[in-house]
Amino acid sequence: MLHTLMPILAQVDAAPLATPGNWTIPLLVLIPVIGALLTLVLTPKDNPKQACILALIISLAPLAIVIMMAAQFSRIAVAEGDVAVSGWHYQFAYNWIPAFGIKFLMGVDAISLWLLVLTAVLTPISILASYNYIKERQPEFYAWMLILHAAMLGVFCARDILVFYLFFEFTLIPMFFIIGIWGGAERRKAAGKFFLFTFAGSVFTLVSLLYISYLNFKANGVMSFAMDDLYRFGQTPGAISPHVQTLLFFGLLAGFAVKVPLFPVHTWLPLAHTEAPTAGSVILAGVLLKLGTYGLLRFLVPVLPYATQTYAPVIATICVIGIIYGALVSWVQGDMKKLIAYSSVSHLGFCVLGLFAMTPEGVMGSVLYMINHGLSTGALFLIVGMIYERYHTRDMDQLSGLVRRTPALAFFAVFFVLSSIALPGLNGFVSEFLVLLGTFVSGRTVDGVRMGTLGPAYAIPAATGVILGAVYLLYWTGRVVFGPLKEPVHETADDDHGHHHHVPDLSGREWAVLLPVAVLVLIMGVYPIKVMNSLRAPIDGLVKSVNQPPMLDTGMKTADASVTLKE
Amino acid sequence: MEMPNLLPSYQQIEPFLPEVALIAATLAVLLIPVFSPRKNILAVAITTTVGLAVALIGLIYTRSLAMTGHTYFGGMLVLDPFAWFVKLLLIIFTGLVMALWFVDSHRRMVSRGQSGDAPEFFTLLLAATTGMMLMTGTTNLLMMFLALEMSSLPSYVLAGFRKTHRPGAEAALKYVLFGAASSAIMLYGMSLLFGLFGTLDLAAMHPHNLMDANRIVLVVGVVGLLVGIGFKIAMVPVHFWCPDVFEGTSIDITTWLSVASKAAGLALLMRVLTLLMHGGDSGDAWMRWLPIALLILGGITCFWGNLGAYPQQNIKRLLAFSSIVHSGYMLVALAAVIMPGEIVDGGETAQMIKGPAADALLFYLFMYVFMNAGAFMTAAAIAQRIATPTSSGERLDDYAGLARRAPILAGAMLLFCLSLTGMPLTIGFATKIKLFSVLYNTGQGIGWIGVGVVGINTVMGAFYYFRIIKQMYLVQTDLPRVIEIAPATVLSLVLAVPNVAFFLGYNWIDEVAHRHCAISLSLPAEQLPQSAQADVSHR
Repeated sequence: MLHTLMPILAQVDAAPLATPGNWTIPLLVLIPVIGALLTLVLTPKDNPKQACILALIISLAPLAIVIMMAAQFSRIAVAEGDVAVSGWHYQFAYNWIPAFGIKFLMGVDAISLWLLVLTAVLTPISILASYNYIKERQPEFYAWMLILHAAMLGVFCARDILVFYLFFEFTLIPMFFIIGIWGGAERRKAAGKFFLFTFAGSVFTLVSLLYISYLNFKANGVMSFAMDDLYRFGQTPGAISPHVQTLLFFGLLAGFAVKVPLFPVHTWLPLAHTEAPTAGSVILAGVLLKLGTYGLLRFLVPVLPYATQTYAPVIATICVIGIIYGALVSWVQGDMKKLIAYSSVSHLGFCVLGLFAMTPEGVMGSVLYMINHGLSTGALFLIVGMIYERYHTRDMDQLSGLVRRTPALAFFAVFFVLSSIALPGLNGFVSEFLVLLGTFVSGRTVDGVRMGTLGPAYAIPAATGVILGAVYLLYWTGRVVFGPLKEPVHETADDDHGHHHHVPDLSGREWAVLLPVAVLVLIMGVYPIKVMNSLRAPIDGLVKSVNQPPMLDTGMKTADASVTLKE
Repeated sequence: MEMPNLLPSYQQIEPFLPEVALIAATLAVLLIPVFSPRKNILAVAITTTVGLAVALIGLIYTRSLAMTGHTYFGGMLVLDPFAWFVKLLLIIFTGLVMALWFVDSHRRMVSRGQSGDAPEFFTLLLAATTGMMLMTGTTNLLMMFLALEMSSLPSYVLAGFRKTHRPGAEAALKYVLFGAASSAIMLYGMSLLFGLFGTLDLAAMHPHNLMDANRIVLVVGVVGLLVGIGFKIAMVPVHFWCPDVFEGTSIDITTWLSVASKAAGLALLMRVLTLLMHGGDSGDAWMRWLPIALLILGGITCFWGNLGAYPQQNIKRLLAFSSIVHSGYMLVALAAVIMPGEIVDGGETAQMIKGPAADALLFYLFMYVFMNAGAFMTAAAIAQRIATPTSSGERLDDYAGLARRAPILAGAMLLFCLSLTGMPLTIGFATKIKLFSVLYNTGQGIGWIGVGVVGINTVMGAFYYFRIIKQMYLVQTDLPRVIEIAPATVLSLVLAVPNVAFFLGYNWIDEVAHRHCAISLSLPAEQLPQSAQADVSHR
């Protein structure tokens, strides 16, 4: 065998983490792929709904693996302190294309771990939510879902930027089909737009990351796409000249910004979200958008620290515009799915803002935002999907007073709306507060190192987004959940036998879909400290590496680069 | 008195066993109708297969000779690693086309009660292959012209092979006229080069030593060469034959022309340009304009092909334009290969040279065979399965809902479309990153321009490849499922597998390409450069 299994984490006793073996991550990615084939082959022709159950069972396997990983992380954290779990675990390395320096490097650190958890939780849930929604070509649908699952898990584990890109780009194909085949009336247009926007953006990203690795090759004589190598290269003062950094920054940004999506390139998102089937919307909002922010966090920011500092105000301005614009546009939507879709534009603005604040609080908020937005917005899409299944409309003018018909559904709707508008005690609050705090304090000097380049000038307008967020979501709640009972005519009409058409409340399956998310929302709102502690070390490392002063300006010398940034 | 020995010795023939085998097979196939009943398909098939098999064995047998790079027949023919590799591609590919003919065109003709005209078809095919193989291994202008014509003339006939097919006849006529014109221009360019250097051997030409007054003649001469060879690879502005011919001929010929013709043409172009650029000083204006000109031509070819592909409704025509785009990509790669100051001695002897990125072109060619030929062959298989008396099964409208009607073939087509777009996990992605890295490695501004051109065109290409995918997967149809089990389906699956497998085995292909990218420079003693140099300086 050509592969070399890399040793795990030198400074801690690696034994507990090593128990599942280094093949954990390849297994994690392969299970859904094999599962997709099984779903296609094993689903009985006469009972295609079984595909859903089969896919659900398969998608629980990655969840089990990820939970096991998280358990081991926390066990080590409890035993040896949180710093012990910083760095990469479950490393897997295969020297795939030596001629071109591409290594199949996989690994998990705290940031990827929590995003893996998010992915592994949301996928089974959205599969279960599709049980009645998907009425044709079921085996294909669930096969694509599982393929998508594999690609998403792969993105969060990749430690070689080309492998990252491979998975990143591959997510387009299953999503294209999920929107295009099982979507709404305009599904073909939506799928095409989704694909072409993202593809066009990611070509820029590919070109830029190849150029970075070429520069690294020229400087060090070794072809490598390993993120660690490129971090080291990019963080070397003077390794990449400022104007090249600028080009690379915007080149890399192009692909990630479309995926996030940031303000001017968000136009694919409302259409894609609206037309996608419920499961597609959940995964799209819950996980796929995070691929963009994760890419920014994992690659763009640490590799191009100088450009990040220089252009953070530009990005922050875009984010603030996106926050306010997304919120205002959301407010005037008549289509519930569109409303939530635009709210994503607004929310992801916060997420990126926190990242570019480059303070420990801001980045922490940003990472938490990725997880929390995935839970809350994913859940809101599930709710809208459930309303749609009952009334076959998403038009806010046709619906009102759901609380009278379906109290349990209405409860969850209000619950997730509150979580989304960042009510203290629920998950959204923690991340939104940290993002705004981090942005506010960005730009101050701690121990001679200037942390970030933003400041109150960005935090204050961004904070209006909090109010606007409450406005449009509560407006929606007020109109649809409460108010006088109003249902579409054909749904309430008496049938031939004079019986009143009954709109059911949540079924057992739907409870099973919503309850886990609600529990996680609550946990993340009340007791996020576990997650935050584990994230602290990697985030501090990131913030420290980006705020290395020599890049910023010559006026500020790094007398002590080893200063700790712990608050 | 002793007679001069006009017959070449075995030592001279040995390196060219594959060509000899193909010529023998050509003649044998031609003679079959004389000795056997008119419709003896079996004899034709066996003869052709044996011919190709012997050629392949011969080629493998000559590998060790090829790896050292030698010149034969007084500088007329060359056998070096580069030529060897392209010949290998050509032979394998001709085998595939032969298989395609049997599973598609032939079956269709036989089912209509017509004779397949197999002997004529294979005579022409084998003759053209021989011509292309000769194209890959010569530095002599005269031999170049002969080889080019030897591959072109049978191609013209093949384009019009369906005698009762009106668009085919039109296509063939266009092909001949354009071909004749570009051949004439090429011949003119060659004669200027001969006049300028006093030699027909490219390796002995040293453009760097020319006086300024002669530069313009040199430029005209090289442009003439470019036109002649560019015609074969459908380079803009001599590409006009391509869509019409691709649409008008049967799909086996289309596949043949889009891949084999292009591979041979690019191999020849690369040899010509590498030799012309060799040994110069990178400050020389001559050295600078040629890569730039090539880059511009490649860029225009890409854009033209992509824009031309949008309105197409016929899958063959669409793929024809797509193959023009890929020609453009390869020309851009070629521009990087011949970048000044980068051509280095290489290979196993010092008598071989290679551009910095010569392996990239071979890599691309190798991958291209599987992408493009696969797409064409799948289109053939689909057309064969879904054709009705009223439709040819080649229009995009016919592809509506194909995923339901023919899931296997639609899946194969999906894979080829993704590959041509350059999506991950397919060889299209491998060629894309290879191309980008080659352009970066030139370390020059024009490399950046190349990156921009390729990047933009990659995105543009996605539009029409995804139109095919949308038709197949996102459009519903009530038409019934078709029977997919057919030899043509097997053939398309055979080509589909490498589309993923070679991506995973990227490293292996890369190494093979790297080992075979050196071009022979060795000249017979009487033609060594210094004499030519002396010639030139007093001119």
